[in-house]
Amino acid sequence: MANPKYIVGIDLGTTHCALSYAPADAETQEEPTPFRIPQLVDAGEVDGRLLLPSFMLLPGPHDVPEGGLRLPWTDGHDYAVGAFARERGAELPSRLVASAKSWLCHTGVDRTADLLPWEGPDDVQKVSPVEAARRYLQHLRHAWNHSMAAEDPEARLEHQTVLLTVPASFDAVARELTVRAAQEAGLPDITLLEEPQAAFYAWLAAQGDDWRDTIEVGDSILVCDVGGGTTDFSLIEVVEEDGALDLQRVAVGEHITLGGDNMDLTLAYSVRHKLAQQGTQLDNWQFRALTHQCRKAKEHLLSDPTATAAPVVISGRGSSLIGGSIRTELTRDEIQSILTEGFFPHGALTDHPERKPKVGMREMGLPYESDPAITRHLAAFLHGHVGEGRTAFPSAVLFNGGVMKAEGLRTRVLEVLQQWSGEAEVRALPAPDLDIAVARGACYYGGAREGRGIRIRAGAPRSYYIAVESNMPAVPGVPTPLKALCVLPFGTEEGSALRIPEKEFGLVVGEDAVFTLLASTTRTSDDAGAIVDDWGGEIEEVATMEARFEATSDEATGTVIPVVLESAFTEVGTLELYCAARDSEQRRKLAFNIRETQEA
Amino acid sequence: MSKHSLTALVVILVFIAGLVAVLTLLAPEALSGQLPLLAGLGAVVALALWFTLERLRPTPVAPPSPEETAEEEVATPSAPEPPSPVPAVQLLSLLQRKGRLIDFLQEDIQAYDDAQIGAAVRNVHSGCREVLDEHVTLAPVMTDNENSKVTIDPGFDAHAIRLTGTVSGEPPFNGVLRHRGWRVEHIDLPQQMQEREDLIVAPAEVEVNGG
Repeated sequence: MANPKYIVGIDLGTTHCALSYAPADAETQEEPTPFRIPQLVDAGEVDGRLLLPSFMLLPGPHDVPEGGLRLPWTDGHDYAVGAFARERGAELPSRLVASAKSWLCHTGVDRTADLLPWEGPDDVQKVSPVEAARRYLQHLRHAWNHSMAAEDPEARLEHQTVLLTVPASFDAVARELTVRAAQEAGLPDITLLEEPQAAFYAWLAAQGDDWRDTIEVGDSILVCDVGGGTTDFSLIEVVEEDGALDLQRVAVGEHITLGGDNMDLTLAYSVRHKLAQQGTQLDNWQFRALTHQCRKAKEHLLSDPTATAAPVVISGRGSSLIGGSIRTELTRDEIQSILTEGFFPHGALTDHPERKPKVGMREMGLPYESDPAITRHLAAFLHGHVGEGRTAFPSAVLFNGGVMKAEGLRTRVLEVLQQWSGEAEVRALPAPDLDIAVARGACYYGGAREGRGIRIRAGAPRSYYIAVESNMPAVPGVPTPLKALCVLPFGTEEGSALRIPEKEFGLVVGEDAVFTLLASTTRTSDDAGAIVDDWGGEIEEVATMEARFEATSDEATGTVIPVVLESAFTEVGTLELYCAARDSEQRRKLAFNIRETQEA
Repeated sequence: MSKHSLTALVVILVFIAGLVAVLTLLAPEALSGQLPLLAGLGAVVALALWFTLERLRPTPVAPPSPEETAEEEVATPSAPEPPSPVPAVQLLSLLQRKGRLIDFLQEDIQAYDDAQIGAAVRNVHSGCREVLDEHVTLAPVMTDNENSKVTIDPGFDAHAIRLTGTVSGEPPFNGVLRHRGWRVEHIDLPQQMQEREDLIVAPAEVEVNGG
């Protein structure tokens, strides 16, 4: 891609995908244009929408009329993604793939195995989370090429500068799998960007040159991103560099599988319970309609502080619309107790998420958070990152994600932060359109990389370590204590490579060498080569990695050669580790052993 | 009048009948809050449909009967074709899918009280409104406030502006704007990937459990 025509930002979201683009050769930052994504909106009907729902339908032979999956650019798919997949899939839940992105960072399963739809029937051709991501991206590529590059091969998406956003909390494996999905979707050159950063770039884009007047040196900005399926926190500090304002991403949160979908379902369960007490039982179809109505009622009540109740009406299922309809309402009190107090309760900064098992929030195989209180997750995040000698307590919040569109919830989060902050004021930064902000921000970042606009200094979102065994005599019954060798410090800039000469490993030629990769989001000051003995839960295992030196003519199989580790944080935004022979030029890349993580 | 124009007329009449029935039922003192909602819904939807059908009718000249068309098409390419019912069915289908509009209009609402109808109408309204927002760009014909004084200049378009009351002499006319009118600026219906001739507005739904 010698001369890309466009900078393209893609938000590959848990519940929606979006794409924005801007001309690549502009002198200054141009306002990104949202792309209307052509997609099936009904069987055999294609329409352009700003959002592509991240849902995939794998229909059986009788589920869709013949030719109903035809797209303007292909006749051949046996699946559908987007609006129709979501609508029709709701009626065929065992053939619907949803939340594939949450599966992509689920360490408890083999993410390359064909396991979606989870617990689907045997006659469904299941797909892996990586394959699902690939299909969404491939749809975007085909849709773009059909609309934008029909007569101009140079405008094809694979020839553009593509920025793809991932949650800041995505670990090294999830990042690598995302890049792989993009490559398999025909997008070989992409760059990853963290979603909270993208949201911040969208804010910068909306501010234009005025952003320097809105924030000042010393400000610490919390990006609070609560989407349909996940919650993601980041901290960005405003610092002074050579007399100018500079931005630095100083902390990212853990992956929190909790979002708006859980809230809508919780409301719907509560209303169903209320109806059941009045003697009205709902079937699955009615329950889905109820969930939809609850979302609308929630949005109404949270955006209009004077409303005391919002009607919830489930229309009759048959052609008798009025006769079969069920009418109830959601009151402000219910919203307050279920949503505001349930998901955003007041509490102390020292409160931590409860780890008790909780059922009923969603009947699915994903490891949903056992504690639905987003504010407690926020407390744990801030507790781990702010304080004396570390980052300052946030002085401003930038909200992102569909859930935070609700003014009532934004107000609550601000109240909670204000209570924790004490004297110092916490203010909200005005947020642009929360649905498509991430794709727009990614687009802006593409321009910033070309020197058109400020860039947040970010780098590696975690510190990475390799587990090494202690030089201690083995004690029967006691596992050899592990130490952690820091191979990539937090904040390592994109495009840097490091060599870790501090520790040598003996690598047996012809055998797989297995390393255990560890990571921490909270230990942000370990240097490369540092060995950590005791980390008190701050370091967690990510995956195992493997490399093998094949026997050459001078080395017989079984020879032990000394190697050191080399690491890189790539321009794309992925972690790479190598074993480099101490005494020769030999070098092998360590590959993630994804299947091994099943036991983790 | 062709069969298709007749269909169009019948559909519009059904709309208006439905609208009038509802408005009569909902006495203002019982449910005054619902009235603007209903009026807006009915008027907007009926107008949108009418404009679509109007747009689909190529010329007011009476078209030849369908049997003649096939042969004459080649001989006289300028002869107007009967309008295709497909876009009209598609719009009805969208309004039914999102707003259950056909179910609502086809239902005998005499049996229900105003509160029941009012509750149901909320969903019909929000669903149909979504369809309009997504696919139809509407604008008032005249942007002045209703009940304000307006002047109609010579050369006005009698399709777009209808004069009522005592009209005599030549324009300019001075009058009071009673209704701003609606104009479709843009209709953008989803692309249909295969030719449909079945005229299905909503498929029958059958729930299958097991084999």
